[in-house]
Amino acid sequence: MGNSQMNEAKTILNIQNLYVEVENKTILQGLNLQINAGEVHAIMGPNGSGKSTLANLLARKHGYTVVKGSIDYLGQDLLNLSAEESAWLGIFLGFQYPVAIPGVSNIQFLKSSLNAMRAKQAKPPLDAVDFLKIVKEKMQQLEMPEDLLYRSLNDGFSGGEKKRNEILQMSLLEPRLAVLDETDSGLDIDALKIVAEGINRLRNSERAILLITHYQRLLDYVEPDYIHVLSKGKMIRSGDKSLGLELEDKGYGWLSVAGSTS
Amino acid sequence: MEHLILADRQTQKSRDLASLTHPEYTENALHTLMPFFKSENACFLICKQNEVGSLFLSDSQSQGIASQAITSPGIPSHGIAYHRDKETHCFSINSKKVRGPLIFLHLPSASDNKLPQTSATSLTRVTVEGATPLTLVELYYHPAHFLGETTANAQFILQENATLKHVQIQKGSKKSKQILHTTVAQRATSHYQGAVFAFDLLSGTTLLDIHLQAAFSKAEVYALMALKQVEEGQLFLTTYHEKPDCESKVITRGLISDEAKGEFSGKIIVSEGAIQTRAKLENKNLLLSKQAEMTTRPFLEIYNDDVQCAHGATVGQLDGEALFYLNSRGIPEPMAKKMLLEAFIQPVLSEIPSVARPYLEECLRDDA
Repeated sequence: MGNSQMNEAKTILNIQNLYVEVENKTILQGLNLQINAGEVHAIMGPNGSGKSTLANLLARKHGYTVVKGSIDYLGQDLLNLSAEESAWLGIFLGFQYPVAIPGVSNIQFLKSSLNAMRAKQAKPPLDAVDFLKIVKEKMQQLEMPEDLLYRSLNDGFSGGEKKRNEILQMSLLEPRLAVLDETDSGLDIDALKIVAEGINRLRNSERAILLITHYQRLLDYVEPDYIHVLSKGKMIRSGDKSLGLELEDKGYGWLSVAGSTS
Repeated sequence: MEHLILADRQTQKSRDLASLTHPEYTENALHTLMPFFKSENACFLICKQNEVGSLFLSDSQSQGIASQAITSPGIPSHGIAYHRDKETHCFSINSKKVRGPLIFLHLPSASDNKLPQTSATSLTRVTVEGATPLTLVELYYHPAHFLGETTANAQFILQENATLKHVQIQKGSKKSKQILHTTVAQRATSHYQGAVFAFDLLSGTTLLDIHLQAAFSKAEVYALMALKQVEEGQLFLTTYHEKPDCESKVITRGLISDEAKGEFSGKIIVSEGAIQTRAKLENKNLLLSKQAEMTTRPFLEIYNDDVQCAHGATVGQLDGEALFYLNSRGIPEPMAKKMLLEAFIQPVLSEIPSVARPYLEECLRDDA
């Protein structure tokens, strides 16, 4: 993608000089990130570098103190939004560890979620028949057994089932910005392909996707436009997809050195 | 003077309530409650506490309170024998002949239309026989302006092979108090499935003692304590495993809001010789405000080997991770909380006979 094209694209997310504390510990330290419509970005980086903090902050989870910097999402100050408001405006977080809720069936959850979003878009709620038609079609694409609909949400789901269920939610809610936090972890190679296809199906010129991952493996199937390396709370390197292959080859070590000297 | 009145589909719908010795509040209570029990052809039996034999049976399908006087020995056509033993209303129920779920409505007594502000006591004894499962819902109902305290003693005897699905719903006036003490005695291969609820009692104490008196009997108890404002609730459950090869399961949930205080005590007592006992007790509580208090105490007393007992009690708060997960999917906070609370009490509610559900849901709605 050339520079001229990129400049014309609509900016979805613009993070500037972001400092974030969690329990009095500074996690993000001067992070910058701009994501435009139609782009897929990947953030890689060692454990503890702040990847999940960034993901959770974007989904407006409590417990993060922004000390400095700004996050602009589609022209709004994201930091003024609650979790549900950011969802209504099109932010979706695919959880690293989807939460199990015994007693809430998956279908009840999915339907409540979709209809809550539709209510905000002034659309009528879907009835059970229409909803089932849509959800079953999407489940087939993700090769999910139908009985997952009627079980308690994520309760006793295998790792692969949980992650597919996240992708199912993303495809139902059709977000403007999807942040997928280690969606590839715990997946075998077949499940990884199915999940990657699910992500690729959602790629379009209006939507932006932010992949957070440790491994190049996912990026073999979902090719990112940009790869960023996050270390100690800031981006120490950005590049195109070839950066991922280099990282796989050399690890993060050579970059940390580069980062500290630059 | 004893009044036993039977509603009968064939009889004309008597509106001549003045002729019966029940004051206005009884009629009001029935008009309030009966719509919730319409669907299942339920029959009402009204026990007014302290009052001699003021009982009647009404058909939920009828409009108003169609009624016909009956006398001791009861209502043989409905499988219900009745007599009084001093202060105790005694019922003997042949489950084969019962036509639908039975609803016992317990009301405070009054000699006129004014309700007593003082305490009232009621005693009932119900013997269930026959292998057909019997569904019995007891409503301990305080009309809105009742400010007093009631004490109720209920005994249930399950004969051999009997199955009783029993729901006790205590509904106070928000200013009233109640002590309910229930004792269940089980003969061989009987099955007791009980459920206990209390709403809107300023102070409510519920005691339930289950005696598994013969081999291969089984008891299950599901209870919900929902307390709010400055209510105080106590729930004391004791399961006595007196003979071998019996099974018991107690599942309870507490939702404590505002400045309410709750207390739970659950005991499993396994007598000497009661081998092959299987017993389970679970008490989970959610504190929904910083001022809410809950004390929970599970006890095991086991006097022989070869038993399986499991017990657990927790007190916690609404799961923040779960709430965030729902919020992040666009589900607004109040709805997300409601979903989580419903999920929390689901292990109790899922076991409730359908006839009791509409009214329970109404009580829970009011409670939210």
